[in-house]
Amino acid sequence: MKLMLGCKEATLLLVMSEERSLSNSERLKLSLHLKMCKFCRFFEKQNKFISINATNISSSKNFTRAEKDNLISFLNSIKIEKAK
Amino acid sequence: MHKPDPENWVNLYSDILLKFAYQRVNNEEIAKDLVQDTYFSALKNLENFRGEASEKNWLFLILKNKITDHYRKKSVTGLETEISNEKFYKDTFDEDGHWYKNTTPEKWNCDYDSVIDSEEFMKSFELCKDKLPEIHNIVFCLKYLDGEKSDEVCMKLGISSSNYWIILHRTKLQLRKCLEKNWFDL
Repeated sequence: MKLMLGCKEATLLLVMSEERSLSNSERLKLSLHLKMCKFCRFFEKQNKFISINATNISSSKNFTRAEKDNLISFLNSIKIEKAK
Repeated sequence: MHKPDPENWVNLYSDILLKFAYQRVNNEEIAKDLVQDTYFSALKNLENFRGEASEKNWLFLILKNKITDHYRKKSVTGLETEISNEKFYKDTFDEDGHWYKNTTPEKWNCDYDSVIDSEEFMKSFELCKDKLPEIHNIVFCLKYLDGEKSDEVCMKLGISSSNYWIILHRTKLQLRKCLEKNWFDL
């Protein structure tokens, strides 16, 4: 049984721990790795930072006025079809 | 009881529906088609609108389903290809699973527990998000923008739980690396 985690596994466990609880063995191995690896300690904090800021992401896409007019014509033509 | 008002749908909701769709499919043309399909579906099914939700929420529900269908229609091979592409992992970690010298995270000069309320930061973040491969992007959106739990996401997209974690892991690694370079300038 491998006792020492690599950083790839440690960072995976950190991502998973956001949503599910780790087993005792996972938690122990992860905490040991983090004690010894400052890079994964940075990742732990940065991963959390990304998670809390992710929810605010927005988008600047818009329809042009012409596209909206086309949509309106399109919907009107369907309504006429339905009414027939 | 809310009575739906199709006359106003386009003017009231087109832009917010488009933003929502574009974030999730990362393609302007497809996003616009999905919005049009949403209106079409809604109009066809007007009789089924019972007014339990607002018409805005009802339109969003239809759009969400169309986005899910869009992803489910993608070929299984396409999905498998994206998941089995080990390049990012191989470029980030060596065979022992350790960071390479040039991929190790740097210290960021920020309060890690704070929300950064700046337009430039958001632009940077969006730029990084736009670089995510397709399935990675939709998993990111479903989890962080829609608040869905892993089993809901797996069910919607038809992916296994272990693939979900791999996708999410790579997504966070990639976003971290991109933000470090483009926002924090490290």
